Amino acid sequence: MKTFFYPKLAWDGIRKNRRMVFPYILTCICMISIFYILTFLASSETTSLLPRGGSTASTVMALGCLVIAVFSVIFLYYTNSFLIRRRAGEFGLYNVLGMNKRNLVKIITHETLITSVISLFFGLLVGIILSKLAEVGLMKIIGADVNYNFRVNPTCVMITVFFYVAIFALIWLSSVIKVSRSSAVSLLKSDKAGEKVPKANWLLGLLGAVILGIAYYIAVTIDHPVAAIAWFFLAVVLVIIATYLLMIAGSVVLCRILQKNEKYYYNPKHFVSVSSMVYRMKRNGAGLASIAIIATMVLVMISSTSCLWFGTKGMIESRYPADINFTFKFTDNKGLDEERLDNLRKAFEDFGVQNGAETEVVTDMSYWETSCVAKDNKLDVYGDFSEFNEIANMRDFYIVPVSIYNRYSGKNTMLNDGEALVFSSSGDEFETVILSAGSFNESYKIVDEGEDKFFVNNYLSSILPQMVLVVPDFDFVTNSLVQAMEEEESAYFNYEWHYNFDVKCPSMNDFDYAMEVKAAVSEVMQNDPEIAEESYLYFDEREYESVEIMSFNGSMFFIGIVLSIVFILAAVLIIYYKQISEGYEDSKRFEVMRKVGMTSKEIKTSINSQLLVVFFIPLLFAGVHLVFAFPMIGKILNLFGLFDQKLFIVTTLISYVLFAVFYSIVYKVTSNVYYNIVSDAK
Amino acid sequence: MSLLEVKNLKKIYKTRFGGQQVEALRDVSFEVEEGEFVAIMGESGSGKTTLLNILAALDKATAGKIILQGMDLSAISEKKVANFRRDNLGFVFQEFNLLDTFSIEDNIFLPLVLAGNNYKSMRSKLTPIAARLGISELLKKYPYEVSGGQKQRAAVARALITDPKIILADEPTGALDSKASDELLRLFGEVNAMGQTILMVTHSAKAASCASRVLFIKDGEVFHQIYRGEGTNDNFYQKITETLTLLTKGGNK
Repeated sequence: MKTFFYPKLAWDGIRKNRRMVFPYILTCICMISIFYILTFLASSETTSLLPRGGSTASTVMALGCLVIAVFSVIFLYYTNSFLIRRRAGEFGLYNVLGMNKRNLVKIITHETLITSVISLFFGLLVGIILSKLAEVGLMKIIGADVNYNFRVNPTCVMITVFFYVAIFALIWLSSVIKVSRSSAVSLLKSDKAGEKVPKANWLLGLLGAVILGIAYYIAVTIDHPVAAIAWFFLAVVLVIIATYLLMIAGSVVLCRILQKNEKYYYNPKHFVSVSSMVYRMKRNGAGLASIAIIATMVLVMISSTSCLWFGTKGMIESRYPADINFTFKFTDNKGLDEERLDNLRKAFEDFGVQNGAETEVVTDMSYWETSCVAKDNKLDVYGDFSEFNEIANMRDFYIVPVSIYNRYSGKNTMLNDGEALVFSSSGDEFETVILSAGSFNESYKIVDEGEDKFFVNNYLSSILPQMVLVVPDFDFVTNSLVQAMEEEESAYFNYEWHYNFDVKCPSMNDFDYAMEVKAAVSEVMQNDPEIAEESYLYFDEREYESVEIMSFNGSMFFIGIVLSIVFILAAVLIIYYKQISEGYEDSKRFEVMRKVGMTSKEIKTSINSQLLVVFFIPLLFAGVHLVFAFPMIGKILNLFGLFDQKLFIVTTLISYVLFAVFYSIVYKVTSNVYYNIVSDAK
Repeated sequence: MSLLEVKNLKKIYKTRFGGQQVEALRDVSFEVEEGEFVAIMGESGSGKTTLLNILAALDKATAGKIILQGMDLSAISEKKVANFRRDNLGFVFQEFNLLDTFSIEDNIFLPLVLAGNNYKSMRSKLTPIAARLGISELLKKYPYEVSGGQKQRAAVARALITDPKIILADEPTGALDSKASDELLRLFGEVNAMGQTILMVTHSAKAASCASRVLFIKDGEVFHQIYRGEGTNDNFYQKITETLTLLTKGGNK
């Protein structure tokens, strides 16, 4: 009998507090199962099933796992401290009834044991069952073959168990410390410690507004993808700090301002709501800020990863315009003359004919390539690239002869000496430019070509904005530049020829075709000693490359969904606990208001309007954050090779609407819990 | 005509699952004249609080009538009952029932704001009442910052500010120390002297001795009543304690 005393007390404690403990256990189960699933997907057994690119997926899954791990620690710890605070009264009573601290520790130990064992058991069970589903989902998203063998990975089970046992031990330790440090009386009273009137902290409120302003300013003014990544984290940190400050201090300040306005405040509609909101915001400011941050995170994740996923096709097509894409690079400014180019073209065609393949040339273009710093109207090929603040002015710089321009634009533009065309993907506009490299300076008058833009092959995939200069005196310019640059060792320049074509070959697949045609063309080049020395060639086969992109985008999308589920779950739990704790506190107030002459209807209306405000604030914050984050995330997506702005707008909007609907449902359901508590107390 | 008439009031509570019935009030009848200060006494469980809740329209009687200035309380619809309470009744509770989210001033304003009064008229009503109750200095403070006696005075101010026909006080001295109790009872006496009708439930003989009449309730019925007449508080106190002794001994009428 005696041996079962503590387990029984612990079990009773859990059962009596099921309103709070069950959601906690449920959260533990979800975290554990998702952790297991991600370790399972990251394991080599699973990635071996993937095509090439499996390693990318594995890395992404492992990263996701890490995020879940960190989040589990923080979130479960936070939730548990809430539970312990709520139950302090119960422990205080045991203490008064004659239990000493050691007995209390025993109860806590047994409770932790029970919740941990239940969580681990069901967490692993659900994880193992769902791991197959997750695997199939991942394979489908990546576009790999699905198999239906069911596997359990013992290593992953071990990792999961070890990790969560460690978390539970940590939580247990913090509960024990909390309980053993406090006296019986303080335990008894801790959940009704007199609440002081929140002071309006103008300084913090203002600080929050200023920080948010700075963060937003950073977010909207960054116009460079690489800079975007660097500044992104700073902006995120600032936004998080600002959200907490605004929710905790700013909201109280706002209520105080409203209270100062006698006409507004002493109105039956606002009187009770405004004065209660001060307390509500003080109690829930942190919780609401967390919800807003989590909501923003989920929205950013889902909108960007789904955009990547749905943009995959466009991404592949813009990066690889044809089935097989050959690039020839010549570290010589002259490159190849038309005669030599014709030889190579013939080699491609001959190979096609020999193998009975149909080929169609998509691009056949040559130009001179380097980078430059564009400042004012100076295009400096010699710019100091190591300076970070110059990064916004750096361009991929292409010099194209007017003949090639005319061939590809279908125009018939004539350029006189000293005239040029400039096209910039970042919207630079010039009337004159000075092309400069050390001692060499050549100035051009820019001829207006109207709205039509001209860019060289697959500019979309480059990180830096592209700038194209079309010149009439191509040979003169390139010779001079090379001369000036020869003194600079680190100078980078080369002559490129792009030859992209679609192919239909019955006897071999595209990749093999590319390999073999490369060999054939290389042979032709070897026979010409003048170009063999200074040149190399490579190809990208679309099919082959796209597996990698699919794998990356697919696993990003997958992890985006999984992490969103976890974060939403956390937000739901925060909302739920918020409603519970508010319910208990408001029920007393509810009774007083009824006694001094408010009708139940008036009280309900007032509570509803307060809940609604509290409900909308995080959604509003998340929405505004998202709007300001939009350009920045768009830039970062550029780095991943995604340039479809419209698609990103669409995925963002859909994500927001879906989230809002889901959030409303959760709020409705948890509001019922709140109303039940309030009316129970009556 | 009396200000308040209570006729054959009966209240039966049923336990939640309909099993046992508890008769809280068997048959209570009494009248309160305008300007009277009536105390209702009785042991715990005698039905005092039930009676007060029914008078306050917070609860419905099983049978019987309550008529306030010719209006039948049971005939007032559920919707209007809160307004009725707000316009005609003032409340003082044992636990003060001040909202901790409001300053003292806003707590006192609450019934007026709910009734839709404008700020100026509220303020002009508050100033004399606050002065009379000695809380003018405390108006901007919050309930947690002031003492129990001060809280109760604020609650009295809240009850008075609507100019109610009758003040219902439920053990108003129950949570106060003896000094604050005396102070509050003195205030009640003053307010009553200015013509305010007060009905107070208490089980302190000391508190009851400030009233002009004391009703004793036992087992859901009015068992006895005594008038102060011309006697002093001490005299009256004597009479009350004697009656209480009789009551506990279980004597008959």
